[in-house]
Amino acid sequence: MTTGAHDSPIDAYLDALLVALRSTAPRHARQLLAEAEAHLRDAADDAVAAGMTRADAEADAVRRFGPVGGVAAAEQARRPATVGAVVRQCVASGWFLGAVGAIAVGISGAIAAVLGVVGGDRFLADNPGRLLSPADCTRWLALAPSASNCHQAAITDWAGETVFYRIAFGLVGLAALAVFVVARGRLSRRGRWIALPATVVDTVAVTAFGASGVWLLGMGLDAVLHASGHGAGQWLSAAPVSLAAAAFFGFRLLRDLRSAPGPNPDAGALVVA
Amino acid sequence: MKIDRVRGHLDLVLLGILAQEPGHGYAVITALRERTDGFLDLPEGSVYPALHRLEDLGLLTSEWGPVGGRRRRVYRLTERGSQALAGERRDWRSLVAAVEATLRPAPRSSLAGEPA
Repeated sequence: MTTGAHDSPIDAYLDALLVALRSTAPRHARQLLAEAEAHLRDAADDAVAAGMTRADAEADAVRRFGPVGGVAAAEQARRPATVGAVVRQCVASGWFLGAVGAIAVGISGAIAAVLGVVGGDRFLADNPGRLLSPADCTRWLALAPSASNCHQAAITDWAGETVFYRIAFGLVGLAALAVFVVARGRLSRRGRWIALPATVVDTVAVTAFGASGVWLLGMGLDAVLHASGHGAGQWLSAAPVSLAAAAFFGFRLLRDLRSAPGPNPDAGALVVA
Repeated sequence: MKIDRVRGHLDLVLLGILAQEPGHGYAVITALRERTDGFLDLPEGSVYPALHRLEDLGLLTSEWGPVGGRRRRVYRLTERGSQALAGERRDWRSLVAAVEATLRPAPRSSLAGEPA
């Protein structure tokens, strides 16, 4: 008989095991959880039959099963980390992070479009130090016949490219993320999905997005302080997205680290007492 | 209480128990405890990753089904598992014999060397 979720040591243990198995292939995690639950309830039933109270029996069953961290670590280590497996893990996780990065670029394109409307093309995409060749000027003026001069035509073209290419890149990122989700679902159903541990992915993401965000913010502030804000929008449209992504993955990383099981040197060891 | 860990022989123990008859994890643990009179003990949860690893190696096969009112995964030895167990058993007996040989009291002269 199952007691209330908040009162049952077995339910609490299974909840913790579910969290600890997050980096395990879903099929393996699900099967281990099913086996663990049957085992724990068998052990508790036997202890109750031997005269223990239900609460004591469940606590004893959990104690005998061993620390969650040891069980999860042993399950995750059941398949040796071959070079091929590591490469596949890196490709899968790299694909995911690349897709998220591309989506972030796309969102920055949408912000850039707003900044272009609010602050003007000069704020968004000016490039004061760039030399404008006659051939480029001819092309830009052809694209923006209403522009008063080559520089103005160039800024109009750059602003349009900043928004268009970023949003297009974001759409590619969405497609890549969709491919990732579908592949993960199909491979998980076959028990063949593997990816780097969530803490590794989150650490890489926090580092990459955080460093990018700080750099973009610095470039934007530099443009504001030293170039009268000309071109600052292209940096300032991307900086908050990058920093928000870093904050998101940082939050996930903290959550993962707080819920991570501790090491259990006794996992899998046969003990002679 | 003094505790000594004997690592590396869990596979042999599991294969040995399942060689008697197929069983689910809890039955394997119970058999281990009963057959060793509680002498061999281990975190019970560590048996499952070991069983899964042995299945990955093709030494066991498993099937889900209702047993005793619960859905359970029953493991049985494969032909390859039987062969592996026979090999492990030979290795274990050789190891035990070798260790026994080192524990027997030896003539003092064989360690110190014959005096010239």
